[in-house]
Amino acid sequence: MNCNEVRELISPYIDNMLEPSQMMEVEKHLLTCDACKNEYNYFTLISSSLKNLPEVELPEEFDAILRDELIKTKETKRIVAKKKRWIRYSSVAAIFLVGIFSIAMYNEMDTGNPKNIEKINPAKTLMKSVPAAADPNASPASNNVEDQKNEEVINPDIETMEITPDIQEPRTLMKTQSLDEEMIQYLALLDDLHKDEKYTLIDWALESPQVYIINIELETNNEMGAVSYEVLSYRGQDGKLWKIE
Amino acid sequence: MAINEMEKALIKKAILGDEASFETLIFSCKGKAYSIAFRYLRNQEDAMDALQESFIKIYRHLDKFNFESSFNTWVYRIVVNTCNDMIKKSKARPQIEELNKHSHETYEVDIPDTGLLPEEKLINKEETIYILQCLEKIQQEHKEVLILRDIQGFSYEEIGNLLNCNIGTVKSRISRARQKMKEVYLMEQN
Repeated sequence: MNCNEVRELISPYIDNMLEPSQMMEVEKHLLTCDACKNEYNYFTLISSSLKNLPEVELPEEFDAILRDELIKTKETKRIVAKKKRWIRYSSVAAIFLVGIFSIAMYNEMDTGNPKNIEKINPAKTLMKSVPAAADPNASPASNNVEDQKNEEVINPDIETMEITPDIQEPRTLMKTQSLDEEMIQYLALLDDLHKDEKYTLIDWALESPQVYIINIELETNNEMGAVSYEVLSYRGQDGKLWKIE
Repeated sequence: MAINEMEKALIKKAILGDEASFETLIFSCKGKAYSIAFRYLRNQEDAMDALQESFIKIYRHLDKFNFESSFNTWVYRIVVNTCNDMIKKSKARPQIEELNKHSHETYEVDIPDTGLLPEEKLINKEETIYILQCLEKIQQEHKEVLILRDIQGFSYEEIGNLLNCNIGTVKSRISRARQKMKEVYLMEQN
């Protein structure tokens, strides 16, 4: 072994941390090499000087101070655990409340539905208001009965959407909402036909080009003064109006 | 191992909040723990602070002890880390007169009456002061391993445990540290 190699091993040699074979090599070298022996001597001196430093004693007050600190720590632990528990419980409570609230809101919406449907049907409300306005003398009772009848008859939207496909038929044909000149002509004829009577225009449609179907609701009075309503259909064609039986 | 069983029982009780069990648990290691802290930080006040801080940490995190090392080793490791943290923090605020002040303090606190003759005590004192002065002049990384190896007597393996490095690293660090100490030792003499 050369000096460079030995120098690296002197420190672990002092601490007995070398393989037996290495130990022997270093020992042999140190016997003959003064420079390395010098290094060895200084390392040993430093090491033993540090080893011989006087013992440090733990101050007496340490135990009492530590005990105080431990008790304080326990208190803090308890408070923190309490806080954590509180937060957990209030979160659960909050979620629970939100759940109840949502269900309540949902129920509220559910019961509201029929009203909503009634509201969005302007046609119905429009039709309903007209006959009532037309006959202020009608008794409330009869009005109710007739209202019910009206509901069956008056509301074309509901009829077309739900119940009777045959009544729906003409409406599936070419429907025009706008009043063209021919239509105006037929309406005038209709007016003439029922000039002393009260009627309401329900709707109209084109059955085929230049053939108009017009539906009206005619109000009739019998001798007793009771009011009844009749739905009449007319076909307008070639400038003439025919009643459809 | 009987000692381990007793240790486990004490740890369990301490986790449940029994201070007395904790005090018994640390009885065998608190002296050495203080010694380590004192050598790292060089004065009683800081060493006491470090020790308190370490033991409170240990008390609060007892449930995290995984029994992989011995309990005492775990304690010493925490003390070493706490001291190194304190040293890093204090380095942000440099202190000029530190060396002289601490040598003086060391002298005051450390020299117990070991039954030596007066002349021997005097030589010892001087040697003590001198070697500690040299120790101050080398970097923390090297100082640390000499404290643990030569002053505290830990084995290379134990030091690897405390500093979380392998034995090869420990070996070379101690070797470098001694080389540096020799350089300073010679320089200071002149």
